Amino acid sequence: MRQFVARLGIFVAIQAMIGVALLQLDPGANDSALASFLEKDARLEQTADRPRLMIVGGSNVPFGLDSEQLGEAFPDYSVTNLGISASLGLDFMLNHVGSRAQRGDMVLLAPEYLHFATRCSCSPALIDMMRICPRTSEFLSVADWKDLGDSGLGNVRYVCRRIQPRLRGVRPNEFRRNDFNSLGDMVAHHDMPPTYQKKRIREKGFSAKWDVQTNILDQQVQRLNEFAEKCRAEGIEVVLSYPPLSETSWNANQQIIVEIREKLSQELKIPILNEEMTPSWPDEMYFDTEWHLTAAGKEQRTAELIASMRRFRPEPESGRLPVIPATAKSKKGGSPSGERGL
Amino acid sequence: MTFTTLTFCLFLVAVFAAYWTLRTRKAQNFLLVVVNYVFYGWWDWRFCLLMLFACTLDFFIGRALQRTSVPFRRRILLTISVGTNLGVLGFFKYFNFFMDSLTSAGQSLGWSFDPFTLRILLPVGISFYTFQTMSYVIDVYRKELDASESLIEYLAYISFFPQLVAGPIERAGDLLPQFQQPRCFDNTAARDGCRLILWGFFKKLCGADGLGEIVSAAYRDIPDATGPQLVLATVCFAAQIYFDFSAYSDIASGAARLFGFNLMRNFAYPYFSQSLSEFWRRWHVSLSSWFRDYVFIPLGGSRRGKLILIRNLVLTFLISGLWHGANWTYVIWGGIMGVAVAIETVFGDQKKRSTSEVPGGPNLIPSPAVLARMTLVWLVVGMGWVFFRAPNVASAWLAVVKVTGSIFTPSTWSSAGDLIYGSRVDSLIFVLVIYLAEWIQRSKRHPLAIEHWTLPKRWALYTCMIWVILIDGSFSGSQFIYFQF
Repeated sequence: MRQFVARLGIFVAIQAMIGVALLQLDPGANDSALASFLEKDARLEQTADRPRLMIVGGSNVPFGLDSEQLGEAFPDYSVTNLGISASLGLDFMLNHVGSRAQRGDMVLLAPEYLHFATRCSCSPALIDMMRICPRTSEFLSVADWKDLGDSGLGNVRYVCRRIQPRLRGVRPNEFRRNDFNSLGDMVAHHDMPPTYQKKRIREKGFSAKWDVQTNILDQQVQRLNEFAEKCRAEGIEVVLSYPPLSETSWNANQQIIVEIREKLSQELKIPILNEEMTPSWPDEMYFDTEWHLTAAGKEQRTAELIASMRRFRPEPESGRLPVIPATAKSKKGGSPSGERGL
Repeated sequence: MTFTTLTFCLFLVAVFAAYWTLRTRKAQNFLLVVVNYVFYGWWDWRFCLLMLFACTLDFFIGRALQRTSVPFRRRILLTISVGTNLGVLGFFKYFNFFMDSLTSAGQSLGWSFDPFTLRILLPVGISFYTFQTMSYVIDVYRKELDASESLIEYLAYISFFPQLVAGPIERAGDLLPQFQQPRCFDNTAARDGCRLILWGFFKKLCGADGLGEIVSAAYRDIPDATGPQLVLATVCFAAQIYFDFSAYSDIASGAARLFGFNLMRNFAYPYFSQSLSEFWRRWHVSLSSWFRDYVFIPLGGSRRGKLILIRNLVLTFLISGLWHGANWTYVIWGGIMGVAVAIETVFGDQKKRSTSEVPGGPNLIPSPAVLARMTLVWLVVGMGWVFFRAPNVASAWLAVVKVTGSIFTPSTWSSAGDLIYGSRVDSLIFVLVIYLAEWIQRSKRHPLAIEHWTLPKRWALYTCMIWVILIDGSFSGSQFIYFQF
């Protein structure tokens, strides 16, 4: 047995050395879009002295909302766009915002429908996030850790794909950390020609149809309700807004989306701001995927969101919104109440 | 906890280390029972309760059978065991299927009623361990086996984690004694076990999972798929299901060897068979032999004339089809195989090729006759796979029509190319590599039986395989196909 273990140990050590060599070539994710988490999280800390409007979701949020316009519409809130990628998963997003939100804040949830159809979190994104910021490991749920165990071996492939452009001396075709503005919005794509309609949905093998997992919808609704209940107990307001979906994707997945919306309408204990909104928009309003709006699409969506938020909470007669004095604010439940509104 | 995951790899290492630090057989068996249930409970802890119930019931029925010689009592005990096991299996697997079928039949006769269906979660592996525990009781009843005196040994045998969720379905006479005897660490067996695990990983992650994309692309929407696309998808499915299932069996056997156990060989290069009968002696051997010993032979086997033989073959394959799943497509698949085997048995070549013979003959380049026989077997089996893979009977028939029609429309053949792009090209290359390796090494138990190579050469090959798996393997998290049965 000793000989077997010794030989196996040497063999594994050789593979580990190869792995370490590969890691040396890995440029890492510190320059990637995921790393914008650091700036977004820092902004939350910097603006903790006043009410905050925190927008939570996948990449539909930074590509689809203009936080500056939202801030102008609701000047009593400092707006932070926390959206990065759906691949972080709903658990990660909720745990992160839940750890940062405090009394008087408002959380605007805008998760992709995919979060209700399948487990969106993917281990390469979560591992990269933990490499970028190790303390984000506390935002992973038990299910996320289980997924890491199940698909962890696939990360080698992901790293190798990241190494390839570097070895070829080309810039990888992906968005980067400094493509976001200071409020967390994606702005780099505004002047780029959209590729969704012209290229993406016509490429070989493209399928707009989602791979749906059973049982996920009930779990996610429960998760959201628990999150909302915890927030309300701490004086944090939670609302939800559906992201608009491209027409192509809507047509391919209409059945599951209708099922999701009906379920949320019946069982979600969070106000939905735009239930009446047209769920799909023309493909030409999309940049490169069915979730990423062009600059024009972003403007339209922001305007509609502002209107729906105003309908949700009409402004008081004075025309001014009540302001919570900075000195009265504290972390987690210490601040006085006072009418909060938009 | 699927085999091809980091979690399982860590689990296996931990169990291996703990197992061999224990000095006594009893302690090792107890550890195995614990880890078996941890492994099974990883899917859903409730599954453990059901399996524990089935195992405990059959253990005590076995003990009771051992103690009594009164035929009436023995039959009652056997009936309780078989009835309970089939009842549990029937409820979890077939309840909604039968309700839906009853409703459809009623509606076709002009009756209408509200079907009563339940949201039943199918416990993983129930078809496998149920058959395993049933065979134990039947063998004790037949006095072919003494009942186990130790509940721990029995639980360890039924729930043995390498073969728990997708076989091989081990006979008590083969596996139970291995739990009753002391085990010594065998260097050669352990090294071979590691090679089997590596080969299984390669087949699953580089072969099966990548092919699944091509198969799904066509079978997801059969009305939209062209005939040549369905032909390609069916060819790929034939490879996918073989790689997937045999990979599981290889990893199961390899893992078992690490603990000093020998599991039966479940796949013996079936696609190199020269007859359907030979195919079914090489494909899913544990299930085929189970149905042979507990269904085909009790029905009379081949001893009562050709008509009865045909009946018994067709019935056995129909039941085998139903075992695979709650869908008429599986039953039809079984029927097709049964009829084909019956025709071949009665009217075809009577030469019975043993599974110990080299499949496909001894020559590296097969003769035209061998090639023709292998191709014919493959065509019949392939047609059956259309039903096996299609989501329902109507789609299956449509697929068959399209597949057969595509032969006469060469202008559409190029449409098959639409399914092949990107990483799918790699999958097809891996298919060729795997088949080539199996053909060259078909006289050996598995292609990585390369002990005669020098150490550096072997390690170089293993290293290449590992990094090809890690870099090019499909880690989409897809389960093994047979988990759903």
